[in-house]
Amino acid sequence: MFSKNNEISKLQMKRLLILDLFATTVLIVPGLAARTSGKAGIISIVLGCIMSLLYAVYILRISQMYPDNYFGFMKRCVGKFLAWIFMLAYAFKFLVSMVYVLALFTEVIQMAFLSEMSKYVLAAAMLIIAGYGATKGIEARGRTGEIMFYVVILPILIIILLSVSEIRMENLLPIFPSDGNDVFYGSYLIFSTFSVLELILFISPFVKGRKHIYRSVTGAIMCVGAILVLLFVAAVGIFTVNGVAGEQWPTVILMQVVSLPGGFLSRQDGLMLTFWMGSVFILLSGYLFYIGEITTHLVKAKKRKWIMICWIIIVFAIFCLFQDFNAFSDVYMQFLLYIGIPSGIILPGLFGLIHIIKGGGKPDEKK
Amino acid sequence: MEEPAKIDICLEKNITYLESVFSDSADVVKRSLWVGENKYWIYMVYMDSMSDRMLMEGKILKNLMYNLKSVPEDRGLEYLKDNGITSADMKMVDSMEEALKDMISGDTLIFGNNSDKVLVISSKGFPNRGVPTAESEVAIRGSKEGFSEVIRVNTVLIRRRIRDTRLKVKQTVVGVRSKTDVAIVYMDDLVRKDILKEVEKRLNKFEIDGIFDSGSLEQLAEEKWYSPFPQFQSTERPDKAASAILEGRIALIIDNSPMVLLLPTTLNCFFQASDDYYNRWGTVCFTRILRYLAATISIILPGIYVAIATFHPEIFPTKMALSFVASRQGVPFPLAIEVLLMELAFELLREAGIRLPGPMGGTLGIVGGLIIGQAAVDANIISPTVVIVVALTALSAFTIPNEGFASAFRLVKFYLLLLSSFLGLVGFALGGITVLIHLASLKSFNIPYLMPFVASNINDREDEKDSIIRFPIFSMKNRPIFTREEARRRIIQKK
Repeated sequence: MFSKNNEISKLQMKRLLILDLFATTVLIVPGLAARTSGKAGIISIVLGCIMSLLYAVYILRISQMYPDNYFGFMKRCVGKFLAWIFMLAYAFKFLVSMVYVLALFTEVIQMAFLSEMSKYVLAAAMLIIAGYGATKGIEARGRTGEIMFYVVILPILIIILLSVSEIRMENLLPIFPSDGNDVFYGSYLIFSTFSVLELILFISPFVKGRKHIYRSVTGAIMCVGAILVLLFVAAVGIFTVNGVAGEQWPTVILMQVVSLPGGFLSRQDGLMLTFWMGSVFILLSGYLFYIGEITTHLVKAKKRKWIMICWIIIVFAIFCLFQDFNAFSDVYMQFLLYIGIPSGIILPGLFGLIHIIKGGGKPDEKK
Repeated sequence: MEEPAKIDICLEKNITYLESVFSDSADVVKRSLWVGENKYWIYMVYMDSMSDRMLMEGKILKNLMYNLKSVPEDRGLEYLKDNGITSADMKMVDSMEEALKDMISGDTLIFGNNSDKVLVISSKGFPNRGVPTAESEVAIRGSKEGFSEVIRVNTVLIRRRIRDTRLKVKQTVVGVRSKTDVAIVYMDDLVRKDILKEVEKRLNKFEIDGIFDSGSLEQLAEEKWYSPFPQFQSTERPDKAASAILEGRIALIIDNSPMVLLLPTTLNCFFQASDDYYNRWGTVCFTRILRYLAATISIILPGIYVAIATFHPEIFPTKMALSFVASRQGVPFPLAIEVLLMELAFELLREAGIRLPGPMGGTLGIVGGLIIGQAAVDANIISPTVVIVVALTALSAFTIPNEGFASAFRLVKFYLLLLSSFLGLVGFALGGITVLIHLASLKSFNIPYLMPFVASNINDREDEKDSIIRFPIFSMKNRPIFTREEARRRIIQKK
C-alpha cells in the first residue's frame, strides 16, 4: 500500500529543510548581519544565501551519484574501514550541532519567558520529544514537517507584516557597504549558519523522485533567505543597526514590540517562541534521526529505539557540561568555521572525485 | 478435536442427536410430524421467538399438513422443497454444523426420513426496534433514519440508497460462541482491493468468544491500540454509510450493533456531517470552519489559559490580566488545580448525565451546571473565568460530529493541561508537538490519518476540496484517496 514506503515527497522534503534552516538562522542571522556588515547586512544575507545555493547544488550533485545511501556510497569509494571512521565523524558533527541547538533553545526560552525554569528540565523534555519524533520514521517526520511549516512560518510572516508600519527607511539606507571585506566575512558567517544543508546527503535517498529535488532545495533556501532579509529589514528599520547589533536575539525583541491589532495580546514573543519551538523540534529530531541512521549502519543494530535512547543520554550529558552559552556558542562558531564547513565541502567532494575516478562519473547502478 | 456431526440418513438418529444437543433448551421448538397422504415422517426444529411463527405455522406447516399428496420415501425432502414449502428463500444443506448455525440465527430446519440432508427455510423473525431514528448524529436536513441492531435491516437501509449490482455484501462470522454476523459492504468497482484484503485479514486474525458491538471489533482490528484517536469511523446514519461506500470506503455492519464502521478513515472524515452535503456550500464552509475552530478550542483552551495566566501573564493586555487576577481573588487553589477540578467536575456531570434516564439527565445538567457552578463561584472555590473556560471547552467539544473522536479530544485536553501546568507555554508546545507526531504517524489501513492536510498531492489535492472548506458539489469532480485510482471520477458534466 502506498504509505508504507519509507519515502517522503519533494514538498515534504522542502518544508523539512525550511524548518531545519529556519530553526537556528531566524534568531542568529539578523544580529550577525548587523554586527558584521551594518546596514549592508541585507547584502551579506543575500550573498550568504547565494553561497548556500551553490553549496546545495554541489551537495545535490554528489547525492545524485548514489542510488542507495551515503554510507554505502562512502564504502564503495574509500572502503569499509574508512567509511566507518567518516560516518563516526559525521555522527560527532551532528552531535555537536544538536548540543548547540539545544543550548540555544534553553537559553532563548530562559531569557524570554521561563527564567526560573531549570534549563536541564527544558533540555530533557525537548530531547525526549525529539527522540519520540525520530523513532517514528521518515514518513511521520515528513508529515509533521508539512503541518509544522504553517505553524512556524505563518506567525513570523504576520509579525513581519505588522511591523511594516513602524519601519523607518532612514535606518536602512544606505545599504551599500563601505568595507567589502566585512560584508564577505559576514556572508561567510551567514553561510555557516546554513550548514544543515549537509543533511541533504542523508535525506535525499528518502525522497520520492530524488532526481528532481533541485527546485525543492533551492526553493527552501530562497524562502528562508527571503524571511531573513525581511526580518533584518524589520529589525534594523525599527531598532537601527546599532540597536540590532547590540541585542543578542533581535528577533525576539522584535516580537515583543510589535503589537497585534485589536489589543488582544500585548506581547507576542511568548507565543511566537512557542511556534518557533516547532522548528527546533524538527531540527533536533532530524539530527537524531540521521545519527540513528548512521549508528544503525555502523553497528548493524536492529533495535533503533535503544540507539536513540543512548544518543539522547549522550547529548544530554554533553549539554550538561557546558554552563555558559556564550562561551559554547563561540566555540561552536569556531568549530563550524574551521572544521564543520570545510569538512562539509571537502568530504563529499573527495568521495565524489573518487567515485568519478572509479566509475567514470556515471551514477551508480543498484546491483 | 471433536468431529463435526453428520446428518444421518436415519431420522431417528438425527432426532436423538438434536435432543441431546438441545437438552435443557426451553427456547427451542422441536416437533415430529407426519405429512402427506402416506404420512411421511419429518422433524422440525426452530428457535422460539427468533423465527416468524406466522410464516412457519400459518403458511408452511398448514400447507404441509393439509395440501400434500403422497410423498416419495426415497426423496421426500426434495419433494417437499419443490411441492410443499411456500417460500423461495430456502436451501438444502448437508452439514449439521451449518444447519444448526442457521437455526440459531432464526431459520427453521426440516429433517426428513431417509435423507442425509436438511431443509433450511429462512424464517428469521426476531423482535427488533425496526428502523430507529438516528440519535447521536442528528441532522436538520436529510434522512432521519438510523441503523438498527439487525444486520439485515442495516444492509437493506444501504441497499435502498445504492441500487447498484456492484454493491457487494460479503458476510462472515466472528466470535466462536457468539457467532456474530459481520457484513463487509463495498462497491466492487470502487474499493481498493488491497484495503479489502487487509480488512478480511484483520477480521480473521483473532479468535474470540463473542463480539456484541462494533466497538469491540474496532479495537481488535485497529493497528495502534494505544492511540486515543479512533482509526475506524463509526456512524449510525445509513446516508453517511452509503456516501462513504460511494467514495470507495468499506462499511462493516455488525449484527446487534446500531453503529456501522467505516474504513479507512482520516481525521478529516470526523469533521464531516451528513447534512454538509445537503446544505448550501457557503453555510457548510462556515460550519466546517467553526467545527475545526471548536475542535482546536476544545483541546487547547484550558491548557493555554493555565500556561499564560500562570507563567506568562504579560502576554495579556494589562486590563485583561487585572480582570483575571480580580476574578481569582479569594480562590484558595492554584489555577492549574482549579481548572483541573472544574474539568473533572464537568466530566462527572457528563458521565452521570449519560447513565441517567433522559429527563433526569437534563435535570442533572441544570442542578450540576447551574446551581452547583454558581454556588462554587459564590463560595470562592472557583473563579468565574475558569467556569467560562471550562464551559467554552465543553461547548466546543460538542460541535464535533463524532462522539468517539470527541472523546479523544477530551483526553488530549487533559494531557496538554497537565504539561502546561508544569512547563507553561513550553509544556503546551511540547505537548502539542507530541500530539502532532502521533497523528502524523497514525494510519488507517495505510492511509495517512492527517490526509488531506498532508500528502494531498498524491490525489492531485482533490481531497482538500472536502476538508476545512467544502467546495461546491459540482466542483468535487473526483473521489477521494480511498477510491481505487482508475475509478476516481465522480461527476461528469453533461452538455
